[in-house]
Amino acid sequence: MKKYMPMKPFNDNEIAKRFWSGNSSLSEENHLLESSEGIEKSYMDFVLEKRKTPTDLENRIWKEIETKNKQRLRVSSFVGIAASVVVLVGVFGIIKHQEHHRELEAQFVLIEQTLQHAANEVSVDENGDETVLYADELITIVAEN
Amino acid sequence: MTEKEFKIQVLPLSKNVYPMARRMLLSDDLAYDAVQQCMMKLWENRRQLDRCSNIKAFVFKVVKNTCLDEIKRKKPVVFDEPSDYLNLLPQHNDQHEKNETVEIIQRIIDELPANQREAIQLRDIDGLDFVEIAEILDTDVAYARVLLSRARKSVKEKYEKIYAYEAIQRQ
Repeated sequence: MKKYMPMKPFNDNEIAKRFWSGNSSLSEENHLLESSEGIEKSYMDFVLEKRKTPTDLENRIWKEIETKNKQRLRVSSFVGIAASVVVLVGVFGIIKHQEHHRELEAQFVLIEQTLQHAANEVSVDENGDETVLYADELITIVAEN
Repeated sequence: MTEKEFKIQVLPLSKNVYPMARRMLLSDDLAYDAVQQCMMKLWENRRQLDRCSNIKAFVFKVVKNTCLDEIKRKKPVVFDEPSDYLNLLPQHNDQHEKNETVEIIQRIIDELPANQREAIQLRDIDGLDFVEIAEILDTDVAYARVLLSRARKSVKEKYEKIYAYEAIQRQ
Protein backbone atom coordinates (compact mmCIF):
# COMPACT_ATOMS: atom_id res chain seq x y z
CA MET A 1 0.00 0.00 0.00
CA LYS A 2 1.26 3.40 -0.94
CA LYS A 3 2.30 5.57 2.00
CA TYR A 4 1.48 9.23 1.85
CA MET A 5 3.97 11.52 3.50
CA PRO A 6 2.40 14.36 5.44
CA MET A 7 2.93 17.70 3.75
CA LYS A 8 5.96 19.52 5.09
CA PRO A 9 4.69 22.35 7.28
CA PHE A 10 5.70 25.80 6.16
CA ASN A 11 8.41 27.40 8.28
CA ASP A 12 7.34 31.00 8.02
CA ASN A 13 10.67 32.49 9.08
CA GLU A 14 12.58 30.45 6.53
CA ILE A 15 10.07 31.32 3.83
CA ALA A 16 10.28 35.02 4.74
CA LYS A 17 14.09 34.89 4.47
CA ARG A 18 13.91 33.16 1.12
CA PHE A 19 11.20 35.57 -0.02
CA TRP A 20 13.23 38.74 0.62
CA SER A 21 16.30 37.24 -1.03
CA GLY A 22 14.21 36.33 -4.07
CA ASN A 23 14.58 32.56 -3.68
CA SER A 24 11.06 31.54 -2.61
CA SER A 25 8.78 29.44 -4.79
CA LEU A 26 5.34 30.56 -6.00
CA SER A 27 3.63 28.16 -3.57
CA GLU A 28 5.63 29.60 -0.68
CA GLU A 29 4.69 33.10 -1.77
CA ASN A 30 1.04 32.05 -1.93
CA HIS A 31 1.39 30.74 1.61
CA LEU A 32 2.76 34.13 2.71
CA LEU A 33 -0.22 35.78 1.07
CA GLU A 34 -2.54 33.69 3.20
CA SER A 35 -0.67 33.94 6.47
CA SER A 36 2.17 36.23 7.38
CA GLU A 37 3.08 38.75 10.04
CA GLY A 38 5.05 41.94 10.42
CA ILE A 39 6.74 43.37 7.36
CA GLU A 40 5.72 40.37 5.23
CA LYS A 41 2.07 41.00 6.10
CA SER A 42 2.38 44.66 5.12
CA TYR A 43 3.92 43.66 1.81
CA MET A 44 1.31 40.98 1.16
CA ASP A 45 -1.49 43.45 1.93
CA PHE A 46 0.06 45.68 -0.72
CA VAL A 47 0.20 42.75 -3.17
CA LEU A 48 -3.44 41.81 -2.52
CA GLU A 49 -4.53 45.41 -2.96
CA LYS A 50 -2.69 45.64 -6.29
CA ARG A 51 -4.07 42.30 -7.50
CA LYS A 52 -7.65 43.50 -7.23
CA THR A 53 -9.60 43.21 -10.48
CA PRO A 54 -13.14 44.25 -11.40
CA THR A 55 -15.77 41.69 -10.48
CA ASP A 56 -16.84 39.36 -13.24
CA LEU A 57 -14.03 40.59 -15.53
CA GLU A 58 -13.81 37.38 -17.56
CA ASN A 59 -17.55 37.13 -18.18
CA ARG A 60 -17.79 40.79 -19.17
CA ILE A 61 -14.96 40.41 -21.66
CA TRP A 62 -16.40 37.19 -23.07
CA LYS A 63 -19.84 38.78 -23.48
CA GLU A 64 -18.26 41.63 -25.46
CA ILE A 65 -16.39 39.13 -27.64
CA GLU A 66 -19.65 37.25 -28.27
CA THR A 67 -21.53 40.48 -29.10
CA LYS A 68 -18.87 41.51 -31.61
CA ASN A 69 -18.88 38.01 -33.10
CA LYS A 70 -22.65 38.20 -33.58
CA GLN A 71 -22.37 41.65 -35.16
CA ARG A 72 -19.66 40.38 -37.49
CA LEU A 73 -21.79 37.32 -38.34
CA ARG A 74 -24.75 39.59 -39.09
CA VAL A 75 -22.65 41.80 -41.36
CA SER A 76 -21.14 38.81 -43.14
CA SER A 77 -24.63 37.26 -43.56
CA PHE A 78 -25.87 40.53 -45.04
CA VAL A 79 -22.88 40.70 -47.38
CA GLY A 80 -23.46 37.05 -48.31
CA ILE A 81 -27.13 37.66 -49.08
CA ALA A 82 -26.28 40.80 -51.08
CA ALA A 83 -23.63 38.89 -53.03
CA SER A 84 -26.10 36.05 -53.74
CA VAL A 85 -28.67 38.56 -55.03
CA VAL A 86 -26.04 40.14 -57.29
CA VAL A 87 -25.05 36.71 -58.61
CA LEU A 88 -28.70 35.73 -59.20
CA VAL A 89 -29.42 38.99 -61.03
CA GLY A 90 -26.25 38.46 -63.09
CA VAL A 91 -27.20 34.87 -63.98
CA PHE A 92 -30.75 35.97 -64.84
CA GLY A 93 -29.34 38.74 -67.07
CA ILE A 94 -27.02 36.31 -68.85
CA ILE A 95 -29.86 33.84 -69.39
CA LYS A 96 -32.07 36.65 -70.73
CA HIS A 97 -29.30 37.81 -73.02
CA GLN A 98 -28.77 34.29 -74.33
CA GLU A 99 -32.51 33.88 -74.91
CA HIS A 100 -32.58 37.15 -76.83
CA HIS A 101 -29.58 36.00 -78.84
CA ARG A 102 -31.31 32.72 -79.62
CA GLU A 103 -34.49 34.57 -80.70
CA LEU A 104 -32.44 36.79 -82.98
CA GLU A 105 -30.74 33.72 -84.42
CA ALA A 106 -34.09 32.05 -85.03
CA GLN A 107 -35.38 35.21 -86.71
CA PHE A 108 -32.24 35.40 -88.81
CA VAL A 109 -32.61 31.77 -89.88
CA LEU A 110 -36.24 32.47 -90.81
CA ILE A 111 -35.25 35.54 -92.82
CA GLU A 112 -32.45 33.59 -94.45
CA GLN A 113 -34.85 30.81 -95.37
CA THR A 114 -37.40 33.31 -96.72
CA LEU A 115 -34.76 35.04 -98.75
CA GLN A 116 -33.46 31.73 -100.00
CA HIS A 117 -36.97 30.78 -100.97
CA ALA A 118 -37.48 34.14 -102.71
CA ALA A 119 -34.17 33.76 -104.46
CA ASN A 120 -35.15 30.36 -105.70
CA GLU A 121 -38.44 31.79 -106.99
CA VAL A 122 -36.69 34.44 -109.01
CA SER A 123 -33.65 32.39 -109.85
CA VAL A 124 -32.33 32.68 -113.36
CA ASP A 125 -31.37 29.74 -115.38
CA GLU A 126 -27.73 30.43 -115.86
CA ASN A 127 -27.37 27.63 -118.31
CA GLY A 128 -30.07 29.14 -120.60
CA ASP A 129 -29.73 31.90 -123.13
CA GLU A 130 -29.62 34.69 -120.59
CA THR A 131 -26.78 36.80 -119.33
CA VAL A 132 -26.96 38.79 -116.14
CA LEU A 133 -25.90 42.30 -116.97
CA TYR A 134 -26.38 43.90 -113.61
CA ALA A 135 -27.53 42.76 -110.22
CA ASP A 136 -27.92 44.41 -106.86
CA GLU A 137 -30.20 44.01 -103.89
CA LEU A 138 -33.24 45.34 -105.75
CA ILE A 139 -32.71 44.90 -109.42
CA THR A 140 -31.35 42.22 -111.68
CA ILE A 141 -30.96 43.08 -115.33
CA VAL A 142 -30.93 40.08 -117.61
CA ALA A 143 -30.13 40.06 -121.28
CA GLU A 144 -31.48 37.42 -123.54
CA ASN A 145 -29.05 36.09 -126.05
CA MET B 1 -7.69 26.52 -30.46
CA THR B 2 -11.37 25.84 -29.80
CA GLU B 3 -13.76 28.13 -27.92
CA LYS B 4 -13.57 25.81 -24.92
CA GLU B 5 -9.76 25.83 -24.92
CA PHE B 6 -9.72 29.62 -25.29
CA LYS B 7 -12.06 29.95 -22.31
CA ILE B 8 -9.86 27.68 -20.20
CA GLN B 9 -6.37 28.74 -21.28
CA VAL B 10 -6.59 32.38 -22.35
CA LEU B 11 -9.65 34.16 -20.98
CA PRO B 12 -8.79 33.57 -17.27
CA LEU B 13 -5.50 35.43 -17.90
CA SER B 14 -7.57 38.64 -18.10
CA LYS B 15 -7.39 38.73 -14.29
CA ASN B 16 -3.61 38.38 -14.36
CA VAL B 17 -2.95 41.01 -17.00
CA TYR B 18 -5.46 43.56 -15.73
CA PRO B 19 -3.26 44.84 -12.83
CA MET B 20 -0.36 45.35 -15.25
CA ALA B 21 -2.58 47.29 -17.68
CA ARG B 22 -3.82 49.46 -14.81
CA ARG B 23 -0.26 50.11 -13.62
CA MET B 24 0.76 51.23 -17.07
CA LEU B 25 -2.31 53.25 -18.05
CA LEU B 26 -3.16 54.61 -14.57
CA SER B 27 -6.86 54.15 -15.22
CA ASP B 28 -9.34 51.36 -14.56
CA ASP B 29 -11.36 52.15 -17.67
CA LEU B 30 -8.34 52.29 -19.98
CA ALA B 31 -6.98 49.10 -18.44
CA TYR B 32 -10.30 47.34 -19.04
CA ASP B 33 -10.40 48.57 -22.64
CA ALA B 34 -6.81 47.44 -23.26
CA VAL B 35 -7.42 43.97 -21.81
CA GLN B 36 -10.66 43.60 -23.74
CA GLN B 37 -9.02 44.74 -26.97
CA CYS B 38 -6.21 42.21 -26.47
CA MET B 39 -8.60 39.37 -25.69
CA MET B 40 -10.55 40.20 -28.85
CA LYS B 41 -7.32 40.16 -30.90
CA LEU B 42 -6.29 36.86 -29.32
CA TRP B 43 -9.72 35.35 -30.00
CA GLU B 44 -9.54 36.39 -33.65
CA ASN B 45 -6.04 34.90 -33.96
CA ARG B 46 -6.71 31.89 -31.74
CA ARG B 47 -5.41 29.46 -34.39
CA GLN B 48 -1.94 30.99 -34.05
CA LEU B 49 -2.03 30.45 -30.28
CA ASP B 50 -1.65 26.71 -30.86
CA ARG B 51 1.88 27.39 -32.07
CA CYS B 52 2.70 29.44 -28.95
CA SER B 53 4.99 27.67 -26.46
CA ASN B 54 4.15 29.86 -23.44
CA ILE B 55 0.67 31.30 -23.74
CA LYS B 56 0.79 33.18 -20.43
CA ALA B 57 3.99 35.06 -21.29
CA PHE B 58 2.67 35.72 -24.81
CA VAL B 59 -0.58 37.21 -23.48
CA PHE B 60 1.38 39.42 -21.07
CA LYS B 61 3.57 40.63 -23.93
CA VAL B 62 0.53 41.40 -26.09
CA VAL B 63 -1.11 43.42 -23.30
CA LYS B 64 2.15 45.21 -22.46
CA ASN B 65 2.65 46.23 -26.10
CA THR B 66 -0.97 47.34 -26.40
CA CYS B 67 -0.57 49.52 -23.31
CA LEU B 68 2.70 50.99 -24.64
CA ASP B 69 0.93 51.81 -27.93
CA GLU B 70 -1.90 53.43 -25.98
CA ILE B 71 0.60 55.54 -23.99
CA LYS B 72 2.35 56.61 -27.22
CA ARG B 73 -0.99 57.37 -28.90
CA LYS B 74 -2.05 59.73 -26.10
CA LYS B 75 -1.37 63.36 -26.87
CA PRO B 76 0.15 65.47 -24.10
CA VAL B 77 -2.50 67.54 -22.33
CA VAL B 78 -1.82 71.08 -21.21
CA PHE B 79 -3.59 72.04 -17.99
CA ASP B 80 -4.44 75.61 -17.12
CA GLU B 81 -5.15 74.89 -13.47
CA PRO B 82 -3.61 72.24 -11.18
CA SER B 83 -7.13 71.19 -10.21
CA ASP B 84 -7.78 70.13 -13.83
CA TYR B 85 -4.95 67.62 -13.53
CA LEU B 86 -6.11 66.41 -10.11
CA ASN B 87 -9.56 65.71 -11.52
CA LEU B 88 -8.06 63.38 -14.10
CA LEU B 89 -6.12 61.26 -11.63
CA PRO B 90 -7.58 57.83 -10.89
CA GLN B 91 -10.12 58.03 -8.11
CA HIS B 92 -9.20 55.89 -5.15
CA ASN B 93 -11.70 54.82 -2.57
CA ASP B 94 -11.42 55.93 1.03
CA GLN B 95 -10.00 52.64 2.20
CA HIS B 96 -7.20 52.89 -0.33
CA GLU B 97 -6.37 56.44 0.68
CA LYS B 98 -6.22 55.43 4.30
CA ASN B 99 -3.95 52.53 3.57
CA GLU B 100 -0.64 54.25 4.10
CA THR B 101 1.36 51.06 3.95
CA VAL B 102 0.19 50.36 0.44
CA GLU B 103 1.14 53.85 -0.64
CA ILE B 104 4.56 53.67 1.03
CA ILE B 105 5.41 50.35 -0.62
CA GLN B 106 4.13 51.63 -3.93
CA ARG B 107 6.39 54.66 -3.63
CA ILE B 108 9.39 52.45 -2.79
CA ILE B 109 8.69 50.25 -5.82
CA ASP B 110 8.24 53.30 -8.05
CA GLU B 111 11.73 54.45 -7.06
CA LEU B 112 13.38 51.17 -8.07
CA PRO B 113 15.35 50.96 -11.33
CA ALA B 114 12.96 50.18 -14.21
CA ASN B 115 14.01 46.54 -14.78
CA GLN B 116 13.90 45.71 -11.05
CA ARG B 117 10.52 47.41 -10.75
CA GLU B 118 9.15 45.41 -13.65
CA ALA B 119 10.55 42.15 -12.27
CA ILE B 120 9.02 42.65 -8.80
CA GLN B 121 5.66 43.67 -10.27
CA LEU B 122 5.55 40.73 -12.68
CA ARG B 123 6.41 38.29 -9.89
CA ASP B 124 4.51 39.61 -6.89
CA ILE B 125 1.49 41.34 -8.39
CA ASP B 126 1.06 39.35 -11.59
CA GLY B 127 2.19 36.02 -10.08
CA LEU B 128 4.45 34.92 -12.94
CA ASP B 129 7.20 32.31 -12.74
CA PHE B 130 10.81 33.13 -13.68
CA VAL B 131 10.57 31.64 -17.18
CA GLU B 132 7.62 33.89 -17.97
CA ILE B 133 9.28 36.94 -16.41
CA ALA B 134 12.47 36.29 -18.40
CA GLU B 135 10.46 36.00 -21.62
CA ILE B 136 8.58 39.25 -20.99
CA LEU B 137 11.73 41.13 -20.03
CA ASP B 138 13.65 39.59 -22.96
CA THR B 139 16.32 38.26 -20.64
CA ASP B 140 17.36 34.92 -19.17
CA VAL B 141 15.95 33.24 -16.07
CA ALA B 142 19.10 33.75 -13.98
CA TYR B 143 19.08 37.51 -14.59
CA ALA B 144 15.35 37.68 -13.84
CA ARG B 145 16.11 36.04 -10.47
CA VAL B 146 18.86 38.58 -9.80
CA LEU B 147 16.56 41.47 -10.63
CA LEU B 148 13.84 40.17 -8.31
CA SER B 149 16.31 39.49 -5.52
CA ARG B 150 17.74 43.02 -5.71
CA ALA B 151 14.28 44.57 -5.93
CA ARG B 152 12.92 42.72 -2.89
CA LYS B 153 16.00 43.42 -0.80
CA SER B 154 15.77 47.08 -1.67
CA VAL B 155 12.04 47.21 -0.84
CA LYS B 156 12.62 45.49 2.50
CA GLU B 157 15.49 47.78 3.50
CA LYS B 158 13.69 50.97 2.55
CA TYR B 159 10.42 49.90 4.14
CA GLU B 160 12.18 48.90 7.36
CA LYS B 161 13.88 52.30 7.51
CA ILE B 162 10.57 54.11 7.06
CA TYR B 163 8.84 51.76 9.51
CA ALA B 164 11.60 52.28 12.15
CA TYR B 165 11.49 56.03 11.63
CA GLU B 166 7.71 56.07 12.09
CA ALA B 167 8.02 53.91 15.23
CA ILE B 168 10.49 56.40 16.71
CA GLN B 169 8.18 59.25 15.79
CA ARG B 170 5.28 57.55 17.56
CA GLN B 171 7.29 57.07 20.81
